[in-house]
Amino acid sequence: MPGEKVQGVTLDVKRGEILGIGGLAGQGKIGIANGIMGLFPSEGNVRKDGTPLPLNAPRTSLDSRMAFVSEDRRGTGLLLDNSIEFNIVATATQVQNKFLGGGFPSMIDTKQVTDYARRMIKELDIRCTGPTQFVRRLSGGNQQKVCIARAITLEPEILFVSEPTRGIDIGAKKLILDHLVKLNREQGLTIVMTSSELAELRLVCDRIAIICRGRLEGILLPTDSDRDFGLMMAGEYHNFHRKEAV
Amino acid sequence: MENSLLNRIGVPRLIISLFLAFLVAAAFSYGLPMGQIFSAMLTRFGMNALLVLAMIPTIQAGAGPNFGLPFGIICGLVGTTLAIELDLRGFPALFFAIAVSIPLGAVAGWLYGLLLNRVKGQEMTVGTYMGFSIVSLMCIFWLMAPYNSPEMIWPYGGEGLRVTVVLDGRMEQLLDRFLSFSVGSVVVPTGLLLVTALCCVLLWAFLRTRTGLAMSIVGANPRFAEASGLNVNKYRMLSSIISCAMGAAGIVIYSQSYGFIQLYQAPLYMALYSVSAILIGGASLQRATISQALIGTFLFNALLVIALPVANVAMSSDISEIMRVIISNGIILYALTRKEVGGDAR
Repeated sequence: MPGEKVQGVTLDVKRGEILGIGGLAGQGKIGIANGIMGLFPSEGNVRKDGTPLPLNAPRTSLDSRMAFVSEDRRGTGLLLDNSIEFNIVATATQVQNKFLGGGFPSMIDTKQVTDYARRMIKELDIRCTGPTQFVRRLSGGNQQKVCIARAITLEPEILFVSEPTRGIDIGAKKLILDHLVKLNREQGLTIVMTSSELAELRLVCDRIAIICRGRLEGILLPTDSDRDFGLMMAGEYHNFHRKEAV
Repeated sequence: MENSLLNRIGVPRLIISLFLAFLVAAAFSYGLPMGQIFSAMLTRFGMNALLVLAMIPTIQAGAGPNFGLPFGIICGLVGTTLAIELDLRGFPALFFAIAVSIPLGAVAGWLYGLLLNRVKGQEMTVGTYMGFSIVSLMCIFWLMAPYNSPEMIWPYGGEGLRVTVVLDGRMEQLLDRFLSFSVGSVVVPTGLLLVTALCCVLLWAFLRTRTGLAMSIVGANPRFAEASGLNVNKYRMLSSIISCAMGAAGIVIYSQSYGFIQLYQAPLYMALYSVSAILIGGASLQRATISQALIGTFLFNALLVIALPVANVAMSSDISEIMRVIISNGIILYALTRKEVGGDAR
């Protein structure tokens, strides 16, 4: 796991919902998405639509129409010294043979790539000088939009988004959250969003799972009280309620 | 924006180009035979181009320039000596040599790739020493191999290959002379340049296929590649195989133009020349394009060709060998210590 471990998590994700995974930093919540996408060694059972998924196999996860926006934006999420357009299509060319022209040998169709990138740039309002600008030169927020564009290009059924708003400006934050909600409402995309920011989870999610000390503490609704969220994040929710019951 | 042109060319290339222009002017004023010099520039460009292009796959796949190129080169030498042993002449000899060299080079690249995948981050040093070791090991092979062709074995004793084998009448300058024509006193080695162009087109096309793109992704960011479901080691291995196969074919083309094949210690430093050429062309240790390889090959070899006669005349004594060593190693040193090597410049 990425520096933190999570274990014994049993979690159902419903089709078409936005599930939040919250908790304090370092409690293990980012391990879930990374594990399911095969980026870090993990064990257990994962089922999608009833079909078991092999773990530790990134390609199978991608083939099962799941996409991941990593919390490690610059390390895992981007090819910093490549153009915006290539970043957006790179994974799709490999996993789904998209953007490759016909004929032999089948080469990348640069025109199609540029057209598509221009559309994504407009849709996500990526502030750049053009589709060929290097991603390294973009601000954190715009880099994050490129990551999301790359994930959507895979046309996933489930989108894992980890820490989508970490270290980015408030304008980009709003745009990214709005866009995620829009994808969910308009295209029925199931989203699993991991974030350390409880406020934003409560803003966009249908349900919020709280991870504490590497375990699933419980699942709350965004409308539940601050007290319950506080107790769950501190890992005292069940202790407290047991005492109350006594 | 005003210095964007300068940025695109790069200060190092500007300096080298100016130096080259200065040397050309000097050669003119000394009344040197310019026709010969320009012909030699074109020929040396064609000779070395494929060996320099061989650097691109490994650089793109993140394994750095292929310092293990001598491994591939030796496979090309084996192919060429086999062609002579079978007493082939003309194009059959050339094609046979290349056809044998490429699979041998691929096997060498596979072995080299196994090594590279175990020493990530130190490919350059390990590759250099592996090249040195293989060259030395092959010295034994050249001595022991059961070749019988009287053109290749030592005239006395009758065992082991000579240090230099002449290709005269077999494939000497076969490609150079193919469709060759003269512009004034400059002889254009058409066949050689056509083969170079063909190699460029093939490499260009390959780099744009799905597999070629995967190789670039692996080189640009291995973590990203893994997250995109790519097997990093597999593509590094592939790059090493392609690179060594290109090196093997490259040395056959080099030798036919040169007119000799040089065995034993000769391949020792071949990788260094190719590495410096591509670095001078503006490639970094992480990223290289075909145009950078071609520009670098031309600048590096043109400089080498013209610097010697000019220095000889200017110094009015025979210091050509000393100058050659100073100039070629100076260029290598310069290329390897260049500050802009690295990704963050943009």
